[in-house]
Amino acid sequence: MLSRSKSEYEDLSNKFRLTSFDYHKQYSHFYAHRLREMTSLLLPLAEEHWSNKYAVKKLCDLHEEQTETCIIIGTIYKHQAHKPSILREISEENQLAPQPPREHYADLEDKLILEDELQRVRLYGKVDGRFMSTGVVCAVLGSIEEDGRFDVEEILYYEAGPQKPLSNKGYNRKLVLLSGINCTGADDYIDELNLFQHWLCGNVFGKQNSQIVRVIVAGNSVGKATEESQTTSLQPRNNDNNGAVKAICAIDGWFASWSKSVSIDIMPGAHDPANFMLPQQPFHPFMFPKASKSTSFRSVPNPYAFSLDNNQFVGCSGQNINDLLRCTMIEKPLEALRSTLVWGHLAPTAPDTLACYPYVDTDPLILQECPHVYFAGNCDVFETDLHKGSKKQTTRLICIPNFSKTQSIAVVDLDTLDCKEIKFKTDK
Amino acid sequence: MSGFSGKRKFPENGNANKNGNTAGGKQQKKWNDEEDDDFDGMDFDMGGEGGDDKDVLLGEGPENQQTSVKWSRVDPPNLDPSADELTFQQIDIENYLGEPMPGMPGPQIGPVPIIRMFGITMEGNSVCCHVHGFCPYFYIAAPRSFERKDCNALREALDKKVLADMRSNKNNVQEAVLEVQLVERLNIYGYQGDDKQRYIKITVTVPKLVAAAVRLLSNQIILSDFDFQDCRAFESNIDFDIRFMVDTHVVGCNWIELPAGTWRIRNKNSKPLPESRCQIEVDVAYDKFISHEPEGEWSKVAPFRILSFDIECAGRKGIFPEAKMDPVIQIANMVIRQGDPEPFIRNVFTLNNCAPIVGSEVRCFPKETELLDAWSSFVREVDPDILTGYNINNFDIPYLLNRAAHLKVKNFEYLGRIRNIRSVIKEQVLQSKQMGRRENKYVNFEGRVPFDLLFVLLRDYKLRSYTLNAVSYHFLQEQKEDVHHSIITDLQNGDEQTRRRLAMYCLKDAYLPLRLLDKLMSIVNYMEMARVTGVPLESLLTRGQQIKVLSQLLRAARTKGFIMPAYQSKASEEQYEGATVIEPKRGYYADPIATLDFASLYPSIMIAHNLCYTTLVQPGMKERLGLTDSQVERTPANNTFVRSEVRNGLLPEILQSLLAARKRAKNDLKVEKDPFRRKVLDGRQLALKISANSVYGFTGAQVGKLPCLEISGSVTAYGRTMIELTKNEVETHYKIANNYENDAVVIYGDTDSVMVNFGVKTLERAMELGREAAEIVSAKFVRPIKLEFEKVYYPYLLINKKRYAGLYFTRPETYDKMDCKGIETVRRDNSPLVANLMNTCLQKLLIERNPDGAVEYAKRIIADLLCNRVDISQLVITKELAKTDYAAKQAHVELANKMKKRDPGTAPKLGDRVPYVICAAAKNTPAYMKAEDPLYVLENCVPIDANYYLEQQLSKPLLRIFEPLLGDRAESILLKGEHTRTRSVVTSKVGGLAGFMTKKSSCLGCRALMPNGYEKAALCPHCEPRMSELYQREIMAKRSLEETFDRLWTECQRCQGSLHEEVLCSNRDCPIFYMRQKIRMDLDTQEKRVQRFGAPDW
Repeated sequence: MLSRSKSEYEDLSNKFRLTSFDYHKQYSHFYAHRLREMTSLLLPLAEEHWSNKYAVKKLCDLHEEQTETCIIIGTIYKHQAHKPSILREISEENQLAPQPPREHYADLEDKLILEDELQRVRLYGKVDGRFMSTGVVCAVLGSIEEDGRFDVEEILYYEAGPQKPLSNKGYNRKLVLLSGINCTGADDYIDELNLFQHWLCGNVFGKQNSQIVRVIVAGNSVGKATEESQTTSLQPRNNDNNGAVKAICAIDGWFASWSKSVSIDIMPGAHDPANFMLPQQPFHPFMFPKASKSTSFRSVPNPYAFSLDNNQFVGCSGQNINDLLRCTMIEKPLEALRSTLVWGHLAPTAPDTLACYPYVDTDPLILQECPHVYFAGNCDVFETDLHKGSKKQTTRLICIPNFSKTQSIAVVDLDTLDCKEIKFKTDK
Repeated sequence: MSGFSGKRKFPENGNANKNGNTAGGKQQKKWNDEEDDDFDGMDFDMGGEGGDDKDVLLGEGPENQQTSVKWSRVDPPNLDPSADELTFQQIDIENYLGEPMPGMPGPQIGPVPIIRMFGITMEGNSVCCHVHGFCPYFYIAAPRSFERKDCNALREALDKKVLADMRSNKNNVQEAVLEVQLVERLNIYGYQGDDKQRYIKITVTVPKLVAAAVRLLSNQIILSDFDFQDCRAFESNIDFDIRFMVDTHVVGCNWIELPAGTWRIRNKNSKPLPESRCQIEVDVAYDKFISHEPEGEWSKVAPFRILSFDIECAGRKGIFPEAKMDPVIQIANMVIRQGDPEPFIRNVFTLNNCAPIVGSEVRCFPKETELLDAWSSFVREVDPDILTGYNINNFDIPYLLNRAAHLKVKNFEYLGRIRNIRSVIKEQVLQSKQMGRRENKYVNFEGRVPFDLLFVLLRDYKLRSYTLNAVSYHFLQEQKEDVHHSIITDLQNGDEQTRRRLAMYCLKDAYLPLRLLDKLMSIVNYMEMARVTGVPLESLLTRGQQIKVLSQLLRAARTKGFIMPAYQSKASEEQYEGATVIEPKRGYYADPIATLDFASLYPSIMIAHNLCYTTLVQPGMKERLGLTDSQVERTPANNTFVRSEVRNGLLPEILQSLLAARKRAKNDLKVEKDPFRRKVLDGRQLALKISANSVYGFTGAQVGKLPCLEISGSVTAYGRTMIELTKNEVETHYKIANNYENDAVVIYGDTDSVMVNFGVKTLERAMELGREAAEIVSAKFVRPIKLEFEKVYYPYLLINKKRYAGLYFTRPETYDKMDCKGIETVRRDNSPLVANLMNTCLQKLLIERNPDGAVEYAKRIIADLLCNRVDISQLVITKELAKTDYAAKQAHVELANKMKKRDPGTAPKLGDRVPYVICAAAKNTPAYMKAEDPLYVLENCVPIDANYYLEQQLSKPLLRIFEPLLGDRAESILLKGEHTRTRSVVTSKVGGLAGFMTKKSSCLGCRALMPNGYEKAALCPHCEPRMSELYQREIMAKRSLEETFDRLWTECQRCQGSLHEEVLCSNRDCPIFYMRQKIRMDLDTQEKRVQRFGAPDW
């Protein structure tokens, strides 16, 4: 047995765990709370940034006659003609030749709107709608025009707030991040996973792997169930999912063996057998009868936040990034990930196009404190960057590759925040 | 107010007046029962013109005020009548009695009739033009011995009689009969040779004296030497405005030019003073102005100002707003220039303060009287040419006028363009075959045209629902938030932010009509219709079809010296045979079926066989006039008409010019690039087509201005023979014996089309043969009757007469559309389930060509219905609560009463549409007792009466479309098969045994009751080993519910246009209204199941 480096772990994800459910709430409360909380975070920043030169106003105080420059804090709403709409899908008139849902629906014609507590205004000027998303809360400097539009001069984001200094232990500790095993129950990637297991336990490449303190599995451990021909039927049907059951059995075996030598946290992902809305709740222990016997294996929610030796880690299984790529013209997952960090919100498109629990007086997805490592699972390729915020925050951005596509994982050095990809491709 | 279905009154069933087809081949019917043709129903006005109560109308109106540059029109140029011409597009024409103007033609003693034309110059200045010197007249047939010298005696005698006849001479008429002339004219009705007959033309001073003079001539002795009592009156039943327009060649919405030197301008120093609110007010003689034909340059459209508005009133809970009680709290206005993309004025007048709205002006008033007063001034200042909105004629305008009168708001009612004329409400009853009988309110706005969008939609479109919301969704794919009327008062009584929210809806309700008018091109189309038929714009919405044909006929008759007898309309039992229908050979045809159509059949027949009033040879006339057999034609209906060599009929001429104009418009349309000009041209060709088709209807309307059953009966008779002939030609020519693939069979024929099965397998070949056949058969007919090949149905489902469906191909590559005729998809008393099921089955049959799939699908939906898996919104039936004391008990009325007991505040009121579903009940419970509020059903898990939906709603239409496929087995296959054996019913939370039941927990795996000691667990000991699997099943079920929940509720959040405000919408027409409620219940239930497994603690 390998003797591993030690690292002090703390679970910071309680805010993502739901203990009671109330589906009789609407989303307006969630949006309203997000705006309230973000406003309180943004206000001091805005005053500092613009040196108290401009007044912070509400849209309802603006008149078209006075074109004085001011600051408005509000939520972005992007009006998109091609946004998927359940109403359109079930409308009886459109039955003939139904439009297939568009994979990407950002369009240059999309309209950018800023909404504060009470009103809306069209934005134009120094703001690029292509890279904006519904649900972002920001402070906008500009002035109202005669035609009722708001001419933007500058936009200020929360940038995930202040950051604690990076604590440095002086000895090597490493974190392993993987995602998208997409196990189907058949023997897919068995060699690659074996190789990974050997590597993890130090059986290959020597004992540098004793530095690995933790493994995070960021979603999609189970493969996508074979798509049934889902018509837009109005009747819910019971769906049995034997494929997933088998897959869970298989993956349970892997996790059981890995957790013998290292702590493993597994997050649910987009097509895992978990609930659908963000935050996705941890898997039930009895889904992993073998692995759950070990105390070093546990399931955590998605998104997931934790600290290791006081350094902050936050990440999601990738739904937030995927949804952003669909509704904006951002091309690279890494840029999408960076945008959410800058906006200070894990998933601004929730609930608009990304399902989310209807919170009433909290929004756990707000990034109040800037993390040291910020990751997203299930990306097509590995990408990473060291993001420097305007307040000297330094954040390691990681797009964790989809293992079933790349047979690779990401490894972060907890001292230096260096990050690299390790491939486990075997020649078949 | 348009969001609130409560305010709207709609006919429950637009088709109620359709004649039912009698069984068998021969149909006894009136002139029109074709749904798919463009023949519009005839109609007649009853009541209407509320007399000349000038006392009510006249008052002292306020001056126009100029308060805003944005509102007011641009200043008019300085005009010099002696050097400048004045050109404007007129939009409204009316007449009034006034004093003669020196220097103008006509009688010089008052009162005289004066025509007022209102219009707009190309620069956007409003014009009021008084036209002088035109007087009303009519004709009577001259007694044999009447000579020119007797004219004056008649004039004097009649004048005396008429003056004496007047009960009260309010207008102080001093001279009633102006002129009596002996003239030579031809009677339009019946061919009597070309020799003109002698008629007496009698000109009177005041329009209403026409009827008096006619009456006196027919029942009193006017001159002892002559007997006028048997002298028929001619053209005495023509409206004065139409008379004027016909005689001066003015057509609706055309351009009028006043050449320099012919007109006078009115200003504050002129005599008489201006009396209108228009910027330019002028006088001209009726024979001095130029009326431009709307062709070429003169087909342009002036920048009309269109005001769309909507009001909100704060009603009391459960009561339809009454002007005497409930205040008007907001009025939203949008003003757009015709042709502009967006309104240039957007504002809302609110009672009490209201937070600002970016992009719209908010004007707040502490008192309702001030609000109303300011709005009235606003209308006068903006000076709109067209007023629109949704149901403004029957709700908003009368409500405002009544409310202002109740509050004694001074000058509110001066909304028209004549300073001293009040706008008042009149009741009008319109009876029409097209729309049924409806009572409308009519308000005068001298010079402004009320153009209610709802009227347009009711006239031109057959829809499931006519609420503004449903209509916007239908045409714009846009919903609007629908706030229940019980909330409006709460919003008004809140703060400036809640009132702002209300104002947002109000603005949207004012904006949507403009969007719809633009999308449907209604204004352009109606203007073109006015131009083509020559009637004023407003009469197109307030009057029926007859006046349009009448106007054209008068114009054509006048140029040829014909006059029209004044027909006393009387309902008659006389009938003629309708269009023929070749008995359908029912079935599902998987092979291509070619369709041959007669282009504009009825107009073509009238042209080809010279059918007209003027060519009709009445019994005995042939001999009297010595007409030879070759000079006349005997129609299959046994009527005789002279051939065109003897005399060209007027109707054929009118039709020819209409069809030629349509061809021109279509050609112009092909080359025109400018989108607005294209709209005008397209509207024009459509108007021309509809007009051509309505000529036939005019001759057949027995309660009409001039019915002539000889014409209409002959037209249909010709139609029948032509269909028969086509059938014979096709079936004798296309035979295997003549080297064709197969013997062709005509499987169906109807009015103007024939469906042929050539027995070929490919579309290309069917089209080729169809084209060829059209040519071969066309050659057998008289020009311009032409058989055209238009389309192939492939496949084709022929259900019955006028009931069929097919995939419509005009080119072999792809289909154009799925064409369904006479299949219930839009009937409002059906649930959406029926329409959706029919639609999908037809798609599977026709597009996917998968009859088995269609049967399977129908079975699956039936199984879903029986197992309670159908979404409740699919089962909702909606009916309007028109009155509460129906003779027979009705489901929706009973339900409304039940709901009133539960909550009087939100219960449906009179005029509301009541949605309901039919619920299961004890055997023999009458259907009207089984209706229940869908929301109540959802919340209390009341079981649905699946059998009702299966037997009363689905079975008939389903069997209809499947019988051609499955024959007699259809019923047993669809309604009695295996799939109907499993049923499941929810357990109600209310009523019956609900109170006595206790719930015991059962195993989530096998549904067995839980053994002792396991009551709290999720699974029984037997299922426990499958824990992981069964948990996953539950979590997956929750998963899909969660996805739907998010999609539904975010959709509503988006639709209402705000992220931070709660969704209040209660639009029950919205397809997701019930779904979003149900998903909450379902998620609750599912979450409870998941919870039984315990929290996922690590």
